Amino acid sequence: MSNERRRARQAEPEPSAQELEQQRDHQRIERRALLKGALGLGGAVAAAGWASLAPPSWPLSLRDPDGERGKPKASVRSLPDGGFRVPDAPSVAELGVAHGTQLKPMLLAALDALGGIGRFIERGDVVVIKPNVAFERPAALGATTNPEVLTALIEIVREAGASEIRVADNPIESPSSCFVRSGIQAATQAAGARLFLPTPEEFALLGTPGATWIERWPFFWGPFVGANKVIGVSPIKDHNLCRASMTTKNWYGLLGGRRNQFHQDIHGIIADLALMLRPTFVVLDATRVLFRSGPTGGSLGDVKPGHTVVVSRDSLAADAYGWDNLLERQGEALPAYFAKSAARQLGQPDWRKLSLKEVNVG
Amino acid sequence: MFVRDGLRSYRRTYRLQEVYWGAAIAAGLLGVFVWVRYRGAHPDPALYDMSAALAAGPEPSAALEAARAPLADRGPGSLVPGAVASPASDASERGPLPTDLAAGAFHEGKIGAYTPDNLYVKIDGRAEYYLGFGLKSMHSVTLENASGASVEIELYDLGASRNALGCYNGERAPGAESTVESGSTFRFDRNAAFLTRGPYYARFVGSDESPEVVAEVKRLLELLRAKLPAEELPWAFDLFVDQLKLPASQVSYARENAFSFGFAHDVYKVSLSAANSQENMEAFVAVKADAAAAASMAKQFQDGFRSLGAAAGQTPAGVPLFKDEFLGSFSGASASDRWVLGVSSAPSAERAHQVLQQLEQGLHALPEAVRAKAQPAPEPAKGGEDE
Repeated sequence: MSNERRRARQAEPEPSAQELEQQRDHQRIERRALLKGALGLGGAVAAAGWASLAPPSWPLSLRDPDGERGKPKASVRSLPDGGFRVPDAPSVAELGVAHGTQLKPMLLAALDALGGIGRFIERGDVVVIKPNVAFERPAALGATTNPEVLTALIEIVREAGASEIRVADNPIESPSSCFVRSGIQAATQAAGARLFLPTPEEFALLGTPGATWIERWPFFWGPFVGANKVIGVSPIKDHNLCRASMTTKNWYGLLGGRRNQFHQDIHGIIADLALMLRPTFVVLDATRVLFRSGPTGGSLGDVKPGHTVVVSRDSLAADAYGWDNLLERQGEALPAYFAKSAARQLGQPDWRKLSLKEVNVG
Repeated sequence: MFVRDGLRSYRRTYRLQEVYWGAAIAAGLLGVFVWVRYRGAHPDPALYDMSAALAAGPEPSAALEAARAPLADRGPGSLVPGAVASPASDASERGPLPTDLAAGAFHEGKIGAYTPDNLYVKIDGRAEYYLGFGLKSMHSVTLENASGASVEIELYDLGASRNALGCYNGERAPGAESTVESGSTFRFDRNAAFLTRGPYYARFVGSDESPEVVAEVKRLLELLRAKLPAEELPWAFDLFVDQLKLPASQVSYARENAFSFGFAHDVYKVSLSAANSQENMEAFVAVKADAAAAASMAKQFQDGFRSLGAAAGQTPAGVPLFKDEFLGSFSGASASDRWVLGVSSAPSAERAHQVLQQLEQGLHALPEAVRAKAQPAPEPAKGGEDE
C-alpha cells in the first residue's frame, strides 16, 4: 500500500458505533436473500448443464458432440419441378422402336415416332446426355453404352440446335479408364460434345423430396448447371441383383457417396432414381444385349446382337418393353422396381397400354 | 450473487494501467468477435468439399486419387482402388497372381486388390455373387498390347475348392462344356476363359475375339493352371465321379440357397440331363454332422419340394416324392446316416427312384477314408461374409 493512501486512511475519522452497527447489518445475509441467491445460482447451473449436456435434438441444446452442428450448412440443390420433361403430345406414340443396323437413321426413326427431335430439343438448349460407362470394359461386351449410338445421338441433338451437349457419368471403376476403355470418351470428343469426368468439385447435395433413400444425397451436379434437357442412353443388361439394368437404373451413375449401400434395397433405390430424374427422353440402346452375367459381363458369349433402339419419355415403359422383347423375359414377373416406381406415378410398366410405333430401318 | 450491492463500485478512480488492460481485453474480445463473424461469412471451402461424394469406400484419399488417375499415368504394377497393401510390399499386392504374367506383346498394367469390404469398388452390382461364395480377396490385372487389345484377369480367392467350383459353375452358360484336368476345371468362351483351381476362381476377359487376344487368354490360363496351387477335390467328387461315373464337369456346389431353399447350404449337385435337353434333372448330396441333422435337412427338403407342388407317393424304398405343380417333374430327398441324398426335376417317379437308389449304393461304396473326410462346411455368415 502506498504511503499516500496509508496517510489518507489514517486521516479518515473512526466510524461511530451506530455506523458500525449499520455496516454489520448491511453485511448480514438474510435467509430470504440466501435462498434467492442459491435459487438463482442453481438455476444458472441447471441451464448451463442443459445447454451443454442435453442431446442435440432437445430444445435449447447447444451440444455438438462431433462438431457438425458448428459447420455452416451446405446448400441443397434441386432439379426443376417436373424434371426435364417436355409437354405431352397425345397424337404421337409414347414408345418409338427401331430395328436395323444403321444407328443414326434408327434413332431418328424412333424419335420421329414420338414427334421428332424438334419436339424435345430447341435451339439454344443445353443438353446433358447420360450414358452408362460403369465398367472398364470394351463396348462389345455389352456392359456399357454403345459409343456409336452415343455419337449418333449427339449428332442428332446438335442438328436440332442444342448450343451445348454434355456427356457425364460417374462410373463404378476408375472414371478415366472406364471412359477410355468403353470408347465413350473418344466418341464424345469426336462428336464435339463436352465430357464431364466426376471430380469432387462437380458434386453437390441434391434434394429429392419423397425419396426413400436419397432425399438428400451427393449428386453429379456440375453437368446440370445451366442444363435444360436431359437424355439417358443406356445398354440393356442382365443384373445380378435387380435382374435387369436399363434406362431407369442408369441414373445410378449420377449418384456419389457410398452408393453401394443401396444394393440392400436395390428396387427401392431404382424407384428413387425414377423420382429423382424425370428426363426429356431416354434411349434404350439394345444394339447389344448382355443377357447373362450382368451387370459386368466379360464374355462375348453372354452378349447377343439386338439391332434395336427404343426411345420414350417413359423410362419404365421403355424398360418393360426391353424386358419382354429384348432380354426375352416375357412371361416372367417384372422386377419389383417397376411396381414401386409406378406406384409413384412415374411411368407405365405395362407398355402395351401405350401407343407404340415400331419401324425397320435399312 | 451472495454479496449485496455486489455491482457497486467503491472506487471513484482507476489507475491508467488498469484502463490500458481493460482496453486491451476489450480490443481482444472485439477482434475475436470480428474474426468469428468474418469466418462465418467466408467459410473454409473444405467444409463443403464433396470428395466424400466420390469416395466409394474407406480408402485414404491418396489411394482414391491413384485410382482416379488415367490409365496412361499408371506404371506397370501400379495399384488401383481397394489396394490392400503399400507399394513397398509388392508380393502381397499381387496376392496369388504370378509375377511373370507379362510376355510377348502384352505388358502388365494395373493391379487391383480387393477384399470383401470393397469388392464393389471394382464390380458394384456383381460383388454380391462372389461374396455369396465366401470371397476372401480378389486381385485383378490387365495385360495390354500396343494396339490397345487387352486381357483382364480377375482372380478370386474363395477360401475352399468347393466354393470356387460353385462360383465357376454358377457363371457357366447352360450347355457350356468344361474340361477337368489335373486339379483344374476350365472352359473357353470366344473372347474369355474361366478356370477354377484349388480355392481360386479366375476369369480371363479378352477385349475382343481376335486371334492374338484369344491366344493370350489361352496362354494366361495355362500359366495360372501351372502356378496356382491345386487342392484335393471335395469328397462329393468321389461319389459322383469315382462311384457313379458321372462327368466331373457336371459337378457343382451351392454354398447357400440350393434350389432357392434358404435352409439348403453346403449342397453338392450333379446335372443328369443332356446339355441341350429341356430337362434339368439333378442329383444332390449334403453331409451333416450327425444322422439327426441329416434327417432334419431331408425333412426340410421334403417340405420344400411339397411347397412347389404336391405329394406324389413314395419310391419302393419308402422315400416320399413330390410332383412340381408347373414343371410336372419329380423330386425327393432322404437321409442316410450323416448324408442327405436327393433328386430334383426327374422326368418320372421311376427315374427319381433310380437316381436315389444309385446315390445310396454309391454312398455305401465310398471308401472309409472318403467318408471320414466328408465334413459339413461352416454355415455361411449373414450378409455374404465369409464362413
